[in-house]
Order: sequence, then structure tokens, then C-alpha cells
Amino acid sequence: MSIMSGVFLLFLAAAVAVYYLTPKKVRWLVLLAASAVFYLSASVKAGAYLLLTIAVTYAAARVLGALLERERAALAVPGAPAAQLRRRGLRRRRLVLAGALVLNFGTLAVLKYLDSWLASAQRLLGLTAPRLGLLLPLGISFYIFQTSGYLMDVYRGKIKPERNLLKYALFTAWFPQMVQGPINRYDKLAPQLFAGNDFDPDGVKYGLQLILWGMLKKMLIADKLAPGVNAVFADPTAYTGAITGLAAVLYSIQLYCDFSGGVDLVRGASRLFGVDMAENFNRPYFAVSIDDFWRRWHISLGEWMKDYLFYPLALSKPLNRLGKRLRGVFGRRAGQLFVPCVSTVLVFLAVGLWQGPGFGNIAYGLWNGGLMSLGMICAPACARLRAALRLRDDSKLLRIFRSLRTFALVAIGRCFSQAPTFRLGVWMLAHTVAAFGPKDPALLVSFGIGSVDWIVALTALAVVFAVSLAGERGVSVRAWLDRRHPVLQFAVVFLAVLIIVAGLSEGYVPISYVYENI
Amino acid sequence: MEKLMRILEDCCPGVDFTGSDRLIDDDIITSLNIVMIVGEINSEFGVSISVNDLVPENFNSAQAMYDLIVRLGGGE
Repeated sequence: MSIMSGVFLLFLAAAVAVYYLTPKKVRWLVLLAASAVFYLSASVKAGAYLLLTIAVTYAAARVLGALLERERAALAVPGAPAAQLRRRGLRRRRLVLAGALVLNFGTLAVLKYLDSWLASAQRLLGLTAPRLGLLLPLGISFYIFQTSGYLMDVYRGKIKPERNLLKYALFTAWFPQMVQGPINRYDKLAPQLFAGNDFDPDGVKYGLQLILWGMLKKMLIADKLAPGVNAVFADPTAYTGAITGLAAVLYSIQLYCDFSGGVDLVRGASRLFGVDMAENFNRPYFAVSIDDFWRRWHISLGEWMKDYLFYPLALSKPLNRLGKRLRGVFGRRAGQLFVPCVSTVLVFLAVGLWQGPGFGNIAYGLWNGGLMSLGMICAPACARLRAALRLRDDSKLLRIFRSLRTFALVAIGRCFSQAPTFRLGVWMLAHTVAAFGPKDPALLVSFGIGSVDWIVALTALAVVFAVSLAGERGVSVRAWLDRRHPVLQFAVVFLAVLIIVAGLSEGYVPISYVYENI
Repeated sequence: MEKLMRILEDCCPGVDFTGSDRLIDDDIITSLNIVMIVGEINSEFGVSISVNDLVPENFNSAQAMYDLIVRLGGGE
């Protein structure tokens, strides 16, 4: 069931109605039933992987919780050998956690990369064998990350493990998060799911607004640009440099409207039940640096990486020992920068691999991690340069320059992973500069997208830009609209609904979300 | 506290550590800065800050960081 379909909207309306008509105590069971229907309607086979993840992580968390309780009880005994007990407890918990994480991420790695690894091995050995064609279950990356985060929180003693298997299943399989996240945290999401929320008219209104906003972004921008962008990225050699450059820029816009539109839609759907899911975007293309960009783009993944990979790496003893040694050889500053820089590059390598197999994805990770490290290394020199040029940090021109530079750097990185091969991605960038002149102006105008679609996409993009710009200046357009006359509010919503209904009834076939199959 | 202020000014030049108690919440310092600061604190104060200590409450102000150091057995 595509979330961009009338069937989904009907399913959602029915689920909301049943939720609020059911006694409070058992409302969470309605959410669980709706999640099961949604997921199994996509694929019954994929449900098996989901059940396996639920069973493994539920059991592992219970064991971790029991070990932690036993450790605490033993430590409370007067005269107990505390250091020894802590060491032993930590060793046991680490073993359980490592086993569960290997199973969790191992499943993901096999499903995601095995076909690609086998193909590479066959090429190397000169063999021909059929592909395994392994099924990549809907949302698997997201629920694997979410359950792994839950396990690590239990391991750290931050949260207590959920005792009720069905409630835990709901936390893992909550249907709005199953398409493309966001990656939620147990301590934030679970209490809302289990609470039996009251009907809140403002919350429902906000949810509906988010759904409409998300659908418009996907329908009017992402899916209008996709055919042209996909055609150029499929075979960049067929186009002039101007077209490949335009495709690189438009891909970044398409990706944002696709991903953030989808997340708006599911966050809105979740809000209808009184459940707030994690924020995933904060106007990322207004970022002034790569570091800033990654705090605004796919926020729930960034937070996950920070808490469960970056911090443990950066605080690890081997890396810090190496940093100290380097300090002795290359000086204090180099020693200081070593740990954060290496940890950053490794984290982004993981982000690249998460996107998929192939060197293009690794290059994408290295590009972002490398740029962020470079930013850290050059920060003092940049500050001196700004002072020498008498540029104020709050200068509007400087801010615009920084945002455009960040956008360009992000778009360049995406060429590595989006082009059919890394080499073609590099060629595409070089071609954009070396052969920029459009040899065929008609091609530049059409770009494989009809003129009406261009007008629709650019108009919608102008609206999204204006709303984002207002948000960046601290003005919430939603709050502004709320204060307007009800007739105006109704007219705006009616127009949005009209556009969506007209689109759906004209046989609009949504293109799969980019991060749906990740 | 003086030693901590020297570390902070060294790791994050230009940041006013005396005037804010929302260093993390307002994105004045980031996770990259925190990792640098923690490395220096561990080495200069002889403490061991763990992943569990890396929460905004412990890094939102210079005083909060100093309190953490004292809790872990460093400082005065």
C-alpha cells in the first residue's frame, strides 16, 4: 500500500476512527493491528524478517535488563568486590549486545549487499551465475537502526527493557515509520504509543496539514523532476555539461522534496493518533557548512550515528592513545584534532555504506566526512581570514555565500553515489565544468520534463522556498495561517486538497520514495 | 575552573563560555567540539568521561562541565 494513494488515506481514516472509538486502555492494540495490516499488505514474506528482528531484540533486551539488575543487586551487598563485579557484568552484557547487533546488522548486510558481493566475486572469477534476488523488506534499515538503538540504551542502563512483547512489537513496527523512518527512540515514542491519547483537534489539524504539505512536495516537485533527473543520471554521457550540472542541482531538490515530503506525510499520519515522531529535517539547504547541513538533514539518523557510533568511537581507548602519540610527534593541535576527525570519517563511511553497496556510496561518505574534518582543521584559519577581510559573521552576503557553497558541496557528493558508477559521477562533474556550453538549447529547455510540469514544479518550489525562508527567520507560516480568518484557512486547505485529488484522479502514479528501498 | 576555561577557549576559540547555559541546546558547540573538549578534560584532569556522560545537561555551560569533572573525581 503506497502512502501516496487514496487507499492509504482511507486506511488511515479508518484506523483513526477506530482508535478514538476504542476504550483508552486498549487503544495501543488498535495501533498494533493497523501496523500489522499496513506491513503485511506490503509483503507477507517481509513480515518474517520483521518478526525475527522483534523476537531477537526483545529477547536480547530482556537478558540485558536481567544482567544489569543482577549486577546492581550484587553491588548493593556490603563488602562486595565492586570492580570485579562491574568488569564481569560489563563483559556479559557486551557479549549479549554484540551477539544481538551482529544478528541485526548481519541480516541487513546479507539482504542489502550479498547480491552485489556475489556479482563482484563472479566478475573477478569470470563466472556466470544467477543473482539471488534477495528481498529487501520495507523499512528494514530503519527498524534495524531503531531496535539497535533501543538495545544500546538498555545496555547502557538508560531505559528499562519493555516486558510486553506486543507493546515492543508496536514500538518496532509502528506503521508510519516503516516506509522511510524517522528512526525513533524508545523513551520518546513508546510512552505516546501506549498512552491511549485523547482526541486533540489542534493536533489532528496539524497532522492533516503535515500530510497535505508532504503530499504536495512529493507530487508537485519530486515526482515532476524525477523523470528528467533519472534520465540524465542513467546516462550522463548523452548530455552536455549544462544538463549534467542542472541534473546534479535538481537531484538535490528532488531528493529533499521526496524524502522530507514522505517524512512530513508519515509524521502527519502519526500526529492524527496523538503520536509525535522524531523531527528529520530542519531546512537543510539553508545550512552554512557541511557540519550544519548534517544537523539539519536526516536528523534522526545523524543523532543515531552521534550517540551510538561517533561518541563510542571518539571515546575509545585505542583511538585516544593514538591521538596522544600523535600529539607528541605532530604537536598539540594535531593530537587534538585526530580523534574527532578520524571518528567523523568513520561515521560517514558507515553512512555511505548504509546507503548501499558500491564505491560511489563509500566515496559519498568519505567526501562528507572529509569535508567536515577539513572544516574543523581550517576553522582557525577561516576565522583569521574573515577578520582580515573584515567580514562579520552575521553578514547576509556571507551567509548566502556559505549556504550556496554548502549546497554545491552536497550536490557534488551526491553525484558520486547517484551516478551508475563512481567513475561516471566524477566524469559528470568534470563534464559540467569542461563542456558547460549547451550544444542543444532545446534539450536544456525540455530536460525530459514537459513545460506544464516545469511550471508546476517551479511554482511549488517557490512556495516551499518562501515557507522555508520564513521559518529560517523565525516565522511559522502554519501559526500565521492559524491566526487568519477561517475562510482564508479553509480556502488554502481546500486548494491543497483539490490539487491532490485532481492529481490522484488523473491517474497519478507515485514514484517510489528514494529511501523506501534502502 | 581556570584550567577548564583555558581548555574551552583553546578548543573552541571565539565562543563565550561565561555568558551561556544553552551551549548545546543553541548549537553553540557541536558534538565535534564536545569530543575535543572531552579528550582534553580526560587528559588534563585525569578523569574518564564515558558515553553515558555525554548528555546536553553536562555540557550546556562551563559550570555544568566543571560539576561533571568534580563528580568524576577531578577538579578541586
